[in-house]
Amino acid sequence: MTATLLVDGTDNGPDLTSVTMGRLLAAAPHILGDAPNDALLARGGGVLFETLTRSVKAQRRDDLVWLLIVAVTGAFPNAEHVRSARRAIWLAEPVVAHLALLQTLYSLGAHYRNLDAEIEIVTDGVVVDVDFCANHTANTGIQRVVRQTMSRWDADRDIVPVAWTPHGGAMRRLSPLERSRVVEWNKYTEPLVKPDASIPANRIVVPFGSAVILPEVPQPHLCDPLAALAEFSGNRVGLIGYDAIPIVSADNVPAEETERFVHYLTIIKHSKRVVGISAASTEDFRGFSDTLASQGLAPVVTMEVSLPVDVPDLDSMPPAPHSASPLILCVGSQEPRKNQDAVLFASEVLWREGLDFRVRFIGGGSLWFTRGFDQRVKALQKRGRSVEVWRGVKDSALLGSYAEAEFSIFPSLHEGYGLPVAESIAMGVPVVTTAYASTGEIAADGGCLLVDPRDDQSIVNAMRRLLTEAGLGDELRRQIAARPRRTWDDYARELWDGLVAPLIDTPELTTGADCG
Amino acid sequence: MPPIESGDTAAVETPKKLTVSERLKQSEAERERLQRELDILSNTAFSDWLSATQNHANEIESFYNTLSWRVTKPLRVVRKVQLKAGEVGLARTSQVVVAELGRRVGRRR
Repeated sequence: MTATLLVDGTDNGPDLTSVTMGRLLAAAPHILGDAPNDALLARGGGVLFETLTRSVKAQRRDDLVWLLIVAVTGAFPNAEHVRSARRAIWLAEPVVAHLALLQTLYSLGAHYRNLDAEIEIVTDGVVVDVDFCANHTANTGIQRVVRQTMSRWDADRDIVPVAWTPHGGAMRRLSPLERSRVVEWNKYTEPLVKPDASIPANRIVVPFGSAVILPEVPQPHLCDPLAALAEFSGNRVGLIGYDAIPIVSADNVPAEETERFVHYLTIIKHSKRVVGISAASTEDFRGFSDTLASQGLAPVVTMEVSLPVDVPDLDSMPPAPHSASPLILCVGSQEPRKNQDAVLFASEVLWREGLDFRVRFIGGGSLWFTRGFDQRVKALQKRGRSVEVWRGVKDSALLGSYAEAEFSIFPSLHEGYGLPVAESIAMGVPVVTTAYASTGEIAADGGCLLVDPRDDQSIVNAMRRLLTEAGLGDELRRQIAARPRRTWDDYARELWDGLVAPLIDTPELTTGADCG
Repeated sequence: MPPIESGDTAAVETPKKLTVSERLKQSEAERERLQRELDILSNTAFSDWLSATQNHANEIESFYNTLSWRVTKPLRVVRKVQLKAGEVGLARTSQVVVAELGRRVGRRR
């Protein structure tokens, strides 16, 4: 068999040649409708490639163009690669179509340096892209949702979690360390020295006729190949829609966030389903979907599966330390939109009124904001104010802080959901939060004091009431106890039913009619 | 037609008339020969493409090994540390940096 795989006259060495042939052989049944026979294989790799190209030309299917490109180059193409390849194949005479195709794929093959990769084609499966959580230890809103969901899906469902190859060329399976970061977060400890085999062998994963789920917001360099996958590959792409803040609240985020999000939208417009994490965020994505008709595109099916009001998984709850001074907790990444400066201001007003309390901020942030924020915190500390910032803490420390807190505060200007509000309520701790949109939705079942985050005095008044009005905190705690319970288990199940199951049950291959 | 005598230089040898079956075999053999040539061309083109693409990939790889790319690495590391500190705090970042340095020193030994 090996002899038949060698390409005549090659000087690439047997590995590169046979590995490339292996990729073509894996793709062949999907393109030819059957595995190639021995007579065809005996004629060499170039002939097999030519045969596959002729078949793709005859069938005129975009998904087959996409698959053939991946098989030849070991890399996922962007939309321009697919269009160039498609035009080259259609225009060329059948006898030279394969040469025209090779010409268009040169830069793709060289750039991603995946020619020596083996291939695993996943058909009729569920491929879940968790690249960021697999490679990073940040654990703010999106990562919490991904890790809570993936730990449940991994146990109960048949899924293939994937990350991307080091140069971003294609999907691959996770290493044991990466898998642990994604599905065993509550037990995970980042090793100070990473094992040498932290990246698995060079073997790409190619979904074909599958559901591809994007529970994260992909990193910018992955948006183009994912958009092409959604548009051309015949896979059904579904996403969790967190928020459209970089567009609709662009004044509150760095410019590069907005640019990044615009590229993310190119994936969404070719996807099949978006499931929003709140009614407010779902409306934002539905609004975008409604604009697609002007591009001649079908609307994306948009639905809501709200995040739960639940605590992160933890084996044991830490004991709450006792202090005479009440603690006010402010959890969330530190950036202007989260309005931490308003909390600092309100705290200073109340300290000046003579109230005794502590403030603790938990969360990371970008230097462009945290540098100035830390200076403001230090200035207050120098004046003897009890204020501190915790960054990079584990969930046990976070939950310990909730257990210690008198109440939490989250007066964000714009949220997709507001996970700190839900976690605080799940811990039985009253919350001061924004009256409108998603945090207003969470607050509707009780346990919250609502404010206008754009009005500093409104925040001052709410904090003062909770620090001084006897019985108010207890009343909010009673409301929390009476709230309906919804857990991460519920969310993971409903998300599967709303996002994944419809993409499994309604396979939809790209047909000749889709080709130009 | 009278027989052509041997040694008659003016005479032209008439090709033996082939049967249909023989002509078919000949055509088939020619077709196969041409097909083999086409196969060689296809295989050579594919092989050349692999060689050229891999060479280009190697050039890109070697770029990352150039002196200029390596001497500017500290600048990129400082930037990474800055971003990490903003993400997880200075204390945790220091731990990671020390561990990474330890790992590299250990490797050299």
